[in-house]
Order: sequence, then C-alpha cells, then structure tokens
Amino acid sequence: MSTQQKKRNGAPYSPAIATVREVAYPRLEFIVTILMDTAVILTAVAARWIVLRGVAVLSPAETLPWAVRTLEWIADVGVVSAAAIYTAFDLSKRVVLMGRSFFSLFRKRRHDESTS
Amino acid sequence: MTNPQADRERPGFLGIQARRVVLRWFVIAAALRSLAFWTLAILGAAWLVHWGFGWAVAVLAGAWFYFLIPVVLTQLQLIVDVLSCGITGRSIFFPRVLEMIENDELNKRRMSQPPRVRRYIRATQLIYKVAGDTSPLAAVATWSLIVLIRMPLTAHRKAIPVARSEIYKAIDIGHKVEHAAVEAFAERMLAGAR
Repeated sequence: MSTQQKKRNGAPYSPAIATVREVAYPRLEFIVTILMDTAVILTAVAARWIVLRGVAVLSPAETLPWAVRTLEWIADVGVVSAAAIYTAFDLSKRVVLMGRSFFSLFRKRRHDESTS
Repeated sequence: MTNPQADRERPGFLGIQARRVVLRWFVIAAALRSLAFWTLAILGAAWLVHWGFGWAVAVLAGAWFYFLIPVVLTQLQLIVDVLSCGITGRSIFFPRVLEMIENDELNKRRMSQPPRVRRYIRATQLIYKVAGDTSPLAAVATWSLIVLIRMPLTAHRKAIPVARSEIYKAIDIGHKVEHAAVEAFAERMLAGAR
C-alpha cells in the first residue's frame, strides 16, 4: 500500500515516515521560516529606503525636511514595525515548536531505552 | 495517538509552506500599498505647498483624517484584541465581530436605515475602504486579523457569568479536596512508619 493510499485510508504511518513528520518537518519549517522572515524584513527595509530616497530626490528643497520626516515615521510604523512584529511572533512560535519536537523525541528515546 | 480524519484533512508540507507565504504576502502587500499611497500623498503635498496651495493640503488632509479616524480605531481594536489574547487568553472586541458576521447583522442594519442614509453609506463606502487599505496601521491590523481568525474559537467565547456565591462554593470544595488529599497522604505516611 502506497503512502497516499495509507493517508486516504487513515492507516497509521510507518515509523520512518512518522519520524520525518515529527522531527524533520519542524526543523525544515524552521529553516523555511528564517528564509521567509528574512525576505519580509529585507522587503520592508528596501521599501523604506526606496521611498525615502524617492521623496528626497523628487520633493522641493524647502519642504524636504518635513516630507522626509513624515514619511520616515509612516514607514517605521506601517512597514518596518509590521515586518518586525510578524517575524518576532513567527520565529518565537517556531522555536517553541522545535523545542517541543526535540523534547518529545528525547522522551521517546528515553522510554525506548528503558523498555528495551 | 493520531487522528486519521485530521491527518487526511491536513495539507502536506508544501501546502502548509505555500499558505504561510500567502499570509506573509497579505501583510507585506498591505504595508507596501499604504507606503505607496503615503509617498504619493506626501510628494503631492510638498509640491502643493511649494506652489503656494498650503490651504488645499490642509483641507485635503482634514477630509482624509475624517474618513481615516473610524478605520484606524477599528484597526486598533484588532491590535488590542491580539494583545489581550496574548496576555489574558481572551479577545475583547472580536466576539462581537464574529457575532455580527454570523447573524448577518451589518446587512440587516443597513437595510433598516432610511434611503438617504443608505445612499450616503453607498457613496462613502469606497472612501472608507481606501482609507482602511492606506492607513499606516493596515499591515499590523491585517496581521492581527490573521492571528485572530486562526485562533481557536474558545479564545473568542464570552466568559460565562458566575455568581460570587458559586465562586466561594467552588473555592470551598477545592479546599475540602485539598484537606482530604493531605489527610490521605498523612495516613499513608503514618501507616508506613508503624
């Protein structure tokens, strides 16, 4: 019976697949999370830099200070803080999930050693 | 113990990652949309001031903030709800939002308004939508909404009102259970010492 058939029938997974799901997936997810969150942060910082440069170049000289200051504030509140909050929340969640999977594996190993 | 039904319904690893990318895109798109709007608005305002139309900037900014304030307050409610869920485990405003969605309350209320009010609502709907999409808090509010929607429904249920006498009764029973457990433990200790 293939894995897909097993999945459809609701049959339990083989120990190897179960280990992949319990151990490898959280680790892979953690790596993917770091990559995705880095992309989010870089996008936010790049967007902030681009618009500030744009305003500095395109706005008239006498209104430049307040234009740049206002946009800086909006970019910090709207873009950089959103990216930072999302990233912090997501990373902390992943760390907790990784820790949980590590401890469950540790407990399982200790249980297997004590029963064997 | 695995649940076969839940296992069948759960998307695969790649499916989960794709969904996470989409959620991030929602947040970052909201942030970029708002930033693009404010960049254009500030550039426009700077040139209007430069050409001597400072009064027009003041009028436009006043009109915009008039439409933005209720939207920002709603977005702040979502952010406060996420904070509340993080601290107390319960949301404050979101249960009402869920209730309104479940009962189709907004449409019912709109239909009960006089035609003049309904025309005003229809005319200003788009302005409020744009104000919501371009608010500086749009990205954080979108993230808050995603978090609130993905939370278990128990976080949004209203707390069951319990009378003070019932709380005292529950505390009293709890103390009795504690005493019984301590007595049983002491008896076992004494039996072992004999």
